[in-house]
Amino acid sequence: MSAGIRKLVICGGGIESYTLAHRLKKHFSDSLSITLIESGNVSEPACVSVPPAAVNFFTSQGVSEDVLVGEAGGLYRTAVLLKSVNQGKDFYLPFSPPGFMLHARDFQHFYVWAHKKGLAHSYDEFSLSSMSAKRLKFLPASKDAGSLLSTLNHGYTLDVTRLKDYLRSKFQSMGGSIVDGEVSSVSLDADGCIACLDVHGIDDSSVVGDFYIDCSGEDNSNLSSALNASFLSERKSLPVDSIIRSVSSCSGSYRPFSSISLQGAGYIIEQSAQYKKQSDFVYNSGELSDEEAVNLFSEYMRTPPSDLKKLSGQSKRRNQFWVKNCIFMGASSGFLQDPFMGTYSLSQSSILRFISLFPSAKESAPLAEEYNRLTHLEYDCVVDFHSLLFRVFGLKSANARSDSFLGEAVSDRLKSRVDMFNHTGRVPFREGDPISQDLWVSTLLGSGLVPRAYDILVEGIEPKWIADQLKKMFQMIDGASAKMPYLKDYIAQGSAV
Amino acid sequence: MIMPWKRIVIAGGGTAGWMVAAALARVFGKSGYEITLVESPDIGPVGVGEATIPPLIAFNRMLGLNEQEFIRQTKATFKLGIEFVDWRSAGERYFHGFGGFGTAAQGVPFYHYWLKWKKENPNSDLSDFSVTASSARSQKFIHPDSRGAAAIANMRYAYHIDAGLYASYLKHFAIALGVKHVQDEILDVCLRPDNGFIEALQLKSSNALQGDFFVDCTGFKSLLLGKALGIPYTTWGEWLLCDSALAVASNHASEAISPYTTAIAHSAGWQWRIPLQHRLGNGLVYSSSHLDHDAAQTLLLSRIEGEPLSGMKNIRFTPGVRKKAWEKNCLAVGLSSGFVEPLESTSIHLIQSAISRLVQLFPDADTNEVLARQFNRDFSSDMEEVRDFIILHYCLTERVGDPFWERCRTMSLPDSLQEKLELFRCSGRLIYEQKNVFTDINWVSVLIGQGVLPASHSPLVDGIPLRNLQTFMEKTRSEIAAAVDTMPSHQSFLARL
Ligand SMILES: Cc1cc2nc3c(=O)[nH]c(=O)nc-3n(C[C@H](O)[C@H](O)[C@H](O)COP(=O)(O)OP(=O)(O)OC[C@H]3O[C@@H](n4cnc5c(N)ncnc54)[C@H](O)[C@@H]3O)c2cc1C
Ligand SMILES: Cc1cc2nc3c(=O)[nH]c(=O)nc-3n(C[C@H](O)[C@H](O)[C@H](O)COP(=O)(O)OP(=O)(O)OC[C@H]3O[C@@H](n4cnc5c(N)ncnc54)[C@H](O)[C@@H]3O)c2cc1C
Repeated sequence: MSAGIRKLVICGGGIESYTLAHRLKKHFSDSLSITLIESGNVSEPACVSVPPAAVNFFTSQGVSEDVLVGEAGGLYRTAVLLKSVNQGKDFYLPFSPPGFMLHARDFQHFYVWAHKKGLAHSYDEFSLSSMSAKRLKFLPASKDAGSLLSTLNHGYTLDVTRLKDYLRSKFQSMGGSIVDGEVSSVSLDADGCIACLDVHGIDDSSVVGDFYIDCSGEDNSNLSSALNASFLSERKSLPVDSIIRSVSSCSGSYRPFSSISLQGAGYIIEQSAQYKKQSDFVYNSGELSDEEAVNLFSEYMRTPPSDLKKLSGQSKRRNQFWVKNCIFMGASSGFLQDPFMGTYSLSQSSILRFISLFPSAKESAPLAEEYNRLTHLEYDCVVDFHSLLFRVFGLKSANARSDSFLGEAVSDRLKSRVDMFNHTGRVPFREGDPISQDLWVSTLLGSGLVPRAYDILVEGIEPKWIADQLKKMFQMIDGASAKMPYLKDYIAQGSAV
Repeated sequence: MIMPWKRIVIAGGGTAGWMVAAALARVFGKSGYEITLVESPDIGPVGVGEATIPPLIAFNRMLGLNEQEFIRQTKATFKLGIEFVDWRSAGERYFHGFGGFGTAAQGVPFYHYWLKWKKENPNSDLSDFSVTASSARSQKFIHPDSRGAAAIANMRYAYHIDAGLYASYLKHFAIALGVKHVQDEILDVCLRPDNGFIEALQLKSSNALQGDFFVDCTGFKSLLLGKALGIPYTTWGEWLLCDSALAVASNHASEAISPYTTAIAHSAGWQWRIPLQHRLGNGLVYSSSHLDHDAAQTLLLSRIEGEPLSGMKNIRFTPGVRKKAWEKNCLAVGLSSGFVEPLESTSIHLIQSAISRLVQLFPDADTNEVLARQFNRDFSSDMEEVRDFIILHYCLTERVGDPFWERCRTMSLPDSLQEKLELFRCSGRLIYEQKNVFTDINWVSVLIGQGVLPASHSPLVDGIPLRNLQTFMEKTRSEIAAAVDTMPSHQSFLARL
């Protein structure tokens, strides 16, 4: 290493820690020594779901799909099912965009045009990934650019424990070191940077590094209190704060989607990997007592309340993610009640950002500033997107009693995006947004917000021609999804090879 | 029910006016829109603006123009970038090429490898690793679509065009697609008394020209947006000192036609040299408070190659931008919306991006306000991006002695640029933003070309042993050199078209 960071210390032994540790080892091999400190208290989730960006993330880390879906027990995911969202109908929020462009114009404009003329199909029925998800079918994208199947996209639902074990053993075999114990205190140097961490374990020790990553999970850690790092609350935009969790072993058929359904003052999110199924009831404790919540959830799940676990889940993010010579990552960087993106996916992009801004001196203020700026930009977009999803479900925060579609708790950023959608049929691009335009459009159309305008070019095209094209498109997509194999068979076949 | 604004009036027939007319005619096709362009037969266009940047290729493609035909009609040559002479200090030159450097390994931009390499090889020149710069230096050109060495795929190009021929080429194109051409002078702009919208243009020798939506392409006069609607102008004179230009064409003095623009600094500004097929375009850009008109004239004449072919054109301008480009039912495109300065030839590109935004955001009475807001936001951010990039060329100078350059070297910079410079100086990293005009390659070319060597590079490249780095760099350089060897000269490539 040229100027400085030779030794990096990671506090925490959750999925985030090992994802980061393994990634850095891949990049730096022996030129960076990495020590990871883990205490035994694990309260990690069974499953996490990640969007299509994760495919590249893992490939570039050298973790193949065979590992993710084979050894580590994950499942492919091509859509998110929003249960009874628009006039009681289910909507599959797809990972591959619906329809095709016509005359170099986006499909959505033709859809809106046709919808106003009484088209019966819903928007997701034009997406190959929604249609296949609905049928429990799956294929990865075809490499043949001319094929309809080349438009497919997928993410995963991952089995946290299995994936973590895999990354942990890789990390160790690459020469990474692991210290068992709990960080009990933090010493700072004269500049206010972390000088070392005292670890309380079988043998008490002190771990010294040039740079530190705090991956110690949700609770305020010793590192954050030593550095005076605080949180900003996101409660206003994401008005839920409590979670009840149920984990069971997987039975029945595999589902290539996760699902969200509205229940009382909250929602239930269900995700399953190959061997485990996790259901979380996420709700607003201001509107629902814990007891009511447990009863509601156990009734829905048909499980005895004793098998349920209560967690807290206040939405918040760090004021600053990178402070002095320390970065807060994973659940310790904040936690958003974001059923779509997930904190783990946000951390994947933080990991990439950290690598591209990797410092060469202990403290590098302009890099930290840039890292914080970019991370906030991304959080802004994710908060907006979920705040929209919440409105879609009709969840409003207690102090936002408004009849308008969006309500008062929504940011100006989101208001102007929805406004633009309504006036143009397009969602304007925002810097740092990890959520694609297609997903924004799908979410808005799926929730029943049909814009008043669409691309004027559509008006100049022969109506019958458009109608024929849409009909053909639907038939093609319907036919192709019907021919795809069941996810279950696809997996069975894969592991046989 | 949408009531579209179907009568579009374009005021002005310079490059901006005809680009707008051609594009709208192409997009609206036969959908019942009525496009009229009015230009004064007596007031000529500004008559400069002959160098372009690569996105123009996409604009021409959108119109459906054939490249060979376009090159023949506009007497165009290819432009691989700009050679900067005497900017850092007298005798120093560097090349800002459009294409990228080397190859990105491990996702780390190539220049980081070069920065590390440079420490061991102080004489190494970054442009040796750019296929665009290397071919320019050898006066060679090949189309990136051609089959051949892999390095060729990294070629990026734009054109030098005869501005008058380009406008008349587009004029024929637009008229053939149904644009109505009125040759008359605008005497007055009539506003509706109730809401201040533009109702009609009062013409000198015919009736008032009514319209629903007006595009102001009247050049520096800004008759509609500036004069009639009173949108104020923000000047950027504190950072951009040049406010005058002289332009004169001359014949080629030598055989070779360079595939690039040359920008040569002088004591109070800079000089351009733009090679076309049939002539050279020359111009002197200067600060009138540092150089008087007669001295400027003498200076330009003493520095051009070949014989002057015309009288000298004399242009005054104020660097800056209108507070808004879109107000009520009027959008200004081209010089009427603002002008930064000719360096880096961005003005035609800004016309083009205004057009593509207008096509996406085409308004009607109800949507106008929301769309205008979005447009104006994007417009301002583009203009500021261009402003910062151009200031960069001036503020990084090391020239001493001339009052003009002394001021450039010591002036305080816009915050956005200051932050960018700080981050690059300390870490070699660039602030990440969604840029519409310039990419990291452009910034790095100019920063390094002007002698800013950052204190450190990305630590990721330190993972490579020096010996491997040596092999990698030498291989890259020799692949590029070999690819350039196989290319034809720019002239013979042009001759073959
Ligand atoms: C309802 C719900 C649904 C979710 N769904 C998704 C989803 O679909 N997709 C997604 O991406 N994310 C999802 N998440 C978020 C995801 O679960 C978390 O982002 C992730 O599990 C956090 O991992 P972590 O490694 O940061 O923290 P943890 O898993 O909490 O790990 C922290 C580790 O640090 C150790 N530690 C703590 N303190 C110390 C100390 N002082 N010294 C040493 N070690 C210490 C602990 O022992 C533990 O090993 C969801 C979360 C919830 C609540
Ligand atoms: C010194 C200099 C160098 C430049 N170099 C470059 C370059 O290298 N690359 C680049 O991209 N750009 C360059 N530009 C900018 C470029 O020249 C302009 O962006 C481009 O020519 C567009 O001009 P325009 O159409 O907006 O205005 P103009 O060319 O000024 O056209 C104005 C039109 O309005 C009409 N008009 C005016 N008043 C009336 C009236 N009362 N009634 C009717 N019609 C009227 C005129 O007849 C004319 O047709 C340069 C500019 C300058 C000043």
